[in-house]
Amino acid sequence: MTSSPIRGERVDIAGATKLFGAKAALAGVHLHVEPGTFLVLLGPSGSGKTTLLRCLAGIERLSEGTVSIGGQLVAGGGLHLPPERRRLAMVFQDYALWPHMTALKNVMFPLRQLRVGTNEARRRAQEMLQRVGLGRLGERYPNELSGGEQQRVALARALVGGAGLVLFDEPLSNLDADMREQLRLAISTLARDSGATSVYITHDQAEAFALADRIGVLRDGRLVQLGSPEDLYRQPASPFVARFTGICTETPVTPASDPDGSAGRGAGALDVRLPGIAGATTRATMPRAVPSGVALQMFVRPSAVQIVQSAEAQVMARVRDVAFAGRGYEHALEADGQLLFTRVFSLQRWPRGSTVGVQLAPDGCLVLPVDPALEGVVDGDGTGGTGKALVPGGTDLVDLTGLGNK
Amino acid sequence: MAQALPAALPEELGRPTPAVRPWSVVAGALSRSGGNFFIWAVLIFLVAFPVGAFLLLAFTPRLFGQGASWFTLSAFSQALQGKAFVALWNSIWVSFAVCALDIVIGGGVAWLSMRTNIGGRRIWPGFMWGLLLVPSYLIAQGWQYLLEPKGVTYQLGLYSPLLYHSFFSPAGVVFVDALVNAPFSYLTISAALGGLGSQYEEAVRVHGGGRLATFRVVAPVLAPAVLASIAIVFAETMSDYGVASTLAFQSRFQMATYGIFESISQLPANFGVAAVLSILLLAAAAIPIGIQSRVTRGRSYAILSGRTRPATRYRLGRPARLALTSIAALFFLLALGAPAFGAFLGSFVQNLGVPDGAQHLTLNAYKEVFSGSIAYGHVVQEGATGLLAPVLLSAELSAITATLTAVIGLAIARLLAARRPGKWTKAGDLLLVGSIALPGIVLGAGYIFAFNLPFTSRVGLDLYETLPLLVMGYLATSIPTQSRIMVGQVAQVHGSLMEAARVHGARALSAWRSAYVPVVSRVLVLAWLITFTKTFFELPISQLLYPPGKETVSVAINSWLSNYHYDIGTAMTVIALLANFLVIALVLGAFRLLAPEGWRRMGGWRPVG
Repeated sequence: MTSSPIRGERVDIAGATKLFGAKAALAGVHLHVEPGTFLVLLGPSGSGKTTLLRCLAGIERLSEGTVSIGGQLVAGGGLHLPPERRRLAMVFQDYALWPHMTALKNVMFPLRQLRVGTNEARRRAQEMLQRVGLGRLGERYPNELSGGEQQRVALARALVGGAGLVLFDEPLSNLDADMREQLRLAISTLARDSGATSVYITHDQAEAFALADRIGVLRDGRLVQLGSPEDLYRQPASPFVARFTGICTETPVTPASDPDGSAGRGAGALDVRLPGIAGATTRATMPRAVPSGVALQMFVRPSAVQIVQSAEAQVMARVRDVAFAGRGYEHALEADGQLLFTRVFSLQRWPRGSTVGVQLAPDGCLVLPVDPALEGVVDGDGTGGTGKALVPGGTDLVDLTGLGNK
Repeated sequence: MAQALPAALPEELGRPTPAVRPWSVVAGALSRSGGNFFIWAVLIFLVAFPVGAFLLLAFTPRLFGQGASWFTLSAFSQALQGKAFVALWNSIWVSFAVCALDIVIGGGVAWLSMRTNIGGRRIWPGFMWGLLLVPSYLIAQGWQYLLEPKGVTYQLGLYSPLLYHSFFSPAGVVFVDALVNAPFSYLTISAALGGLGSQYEEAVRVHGGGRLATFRVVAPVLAPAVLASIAIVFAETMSDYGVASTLAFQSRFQMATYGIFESISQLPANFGVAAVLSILLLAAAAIPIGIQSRVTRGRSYAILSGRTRPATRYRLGRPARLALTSIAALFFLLALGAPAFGAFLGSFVQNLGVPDGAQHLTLNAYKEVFSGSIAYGHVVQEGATGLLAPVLLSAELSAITATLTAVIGLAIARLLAARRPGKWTKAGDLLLVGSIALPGIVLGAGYIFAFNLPFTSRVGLDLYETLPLLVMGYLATSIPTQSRIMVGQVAQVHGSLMEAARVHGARALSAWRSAYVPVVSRVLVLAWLITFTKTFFELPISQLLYPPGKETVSVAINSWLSNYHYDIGTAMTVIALLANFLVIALVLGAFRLLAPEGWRRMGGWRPVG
């Protein structure tokens, strides 16, 4: 990180609950963000991430719990500081640029609220527009800018005032792929350069991994795992987190040495039998200890599946589909008529209908208990947690059509 | 770095959690329910109380000290015989006839201007909006000036007794009502046509269907719009007072709205019969609305989607284009041109319409109006500064009404456009929509009755025969309509615009001023102008509620005309119309010159430069 002109604010959220009628959009979220951290809150629609961000901004009022920014209580216990008194800035999903103001005036707005003189505000706003690559478009109105340019203006507006906390509400979701990548880079560098603490919400795991120092995964209004991107990928706390952070297949498994699963298991390497494929076993990783008698499921990361020569193969599979992916090809492989591996990368194109060998890397084959009662909030490296039970059931985000093993 | 915290309140928050402060809880609850309270307070005070009390009188006169019975239907039996019943029946059949005509006129103009290459198609919508703003009595009177035995056609040597007798008859009433209500039909059907892409027609054509088959397929898709058009035109014709009190009255053709006026303006006033007529009027107007909602309920007529492409226009051949353009032009000539011509020329004819007077062209009527001298012995009410006084008074009252309507209407529209309206807000919205359908004459009668009750005097509401009561009456008609019109626009303003201002440091008021008002400025200006124009020429409420010596322009015009001073009446009409155009021009000019460029770009305002 470069030397920062401002200091990011610490954020403390305790027991945050938000009710809309009888429905709890947030159900007691606890979160602590160190100054200068880029935290991404990841979750599907309805997980409560937007509500949490809006409560943090002061746009929504918490039903229970507290929020502190920079050590100052801003919400809770009957107190609700309005947004303008929380010393923060925000980039909105729909940009929220004021259509009657030019790009420059939009960016000048936070400075004018800070009583910065017009000339100085203009100079600083122009400089900020320059930094986001829009130095020559300051006199344009929002409707004269493209979506990406509008979001750059919104980014400039959020950063120009030197707020210690910057909130991002899915700012890339309305942009096309190329523009997303460009703007993601701008957000990542400029937000970090500013030194501000950033809280960013998204439902896109690739975006979260690319941006975050830390990722918090939300589900049904609860924080179910918090850790670095690497932690989440290697040691997901639950099937939900594993699925949401990208898998190419999942299948029920039994320990090779203990087919009835009567013995408990510690965290670490584990040989498992794949019931769907006669006689097949593989080495997998168990991110955390599991009590005895619990059904197990293996979640396979796309990066763990490799197409190999038949002699080295653990499993033989038929190529169902192949798609060109720029630097190589992504394949959909069907093993034994049951197990479907999607997004299997190879530099070589394997024709549809051909048979290939498949090898699985143990560190990308994650074995987790399927019992929802064993899911809990897991902090950091995935080994701890509060042990609070979550709502049963999972969300399937990977196409497993025809598997029949869920 | 971020950490998940345990369930207990963390110590590192650094300070004890403050106790819940009772005042902040109360303030929060008030601010959350404040919106509903505001809507309901406005609606109860302006509409529900006066109209509710008045209508209740039909059943329980004793409650208001108007009779001996707590519950009786005697007012109904009184109203359902003789003149009042005939008036109601006349209103109903005229309304049906007008509906039928307006589907052809409004639907025809809508289809021609939106789906064909007819000439002048860009200006027809403007004319329709103009027609919507001109009060019905001015159009009726304009025709009257033309066709009078000693009127404008007589001056031009074109007088026809047949035309005269046809016009001063029920047929003439249907004719004028159809002209003035055609915009409702046009606007409803053109909105549906605008959303209907050409894909349905193309699908019929590529599958072998001809023009008739296309019509058969597309017509049901437009059914909701046609039904809505029938419901609105029927309700508008039933509740119209302008034609009923001018042309129909002079044709000795009694209509329900005039029946209500007569019942409360006779001595002694019969509020009971007026209340019964009002109830029956409202019930009759509600029938087509009920039928419409029953027919459309449970069916999907959704035709708008992101894939809807703009419809292609039928290219009319040269003769057809010429013929249809002429027909459309003729309609606007009949609706706006002829009455305007009648009023304008009539204002220069001395003794216009006076059977035994000598007619000649003169500017005398204008001199009378501007000098304020009274040449005809007509007694201008004491305190009036001249014949221009009603114009000035109406302008003043209209400006006040328009300003209050814009502000209150915007506040209500914002509440109604909320993402999650509560049940009270939804109920308030229903009452608001109901208030739009309320005829002005019923509202005026309700005001006279309710604000004349001893009870209102006891609670300090001594408003009867005051200008504030008149303004309240105007507000009761304008706020529901304008707030409903504004909801559509306000709902399009993303809540994030205000939130962005707050998040970036603006206080609530500053966020309104800098981030919200500019975005809706054009809507506000339009609401102001529409309310100003409608109020300026408003007749039924003005006629019932104007305080002695404070005639509004509509009352004054009608007063001159009913005293056979047609030239002064027409001169005042022309002056009032010009004054209205002047105000519109001034407001639009000021907005164009003074508002920042960004404001003028909002809501489709043409970009500057």
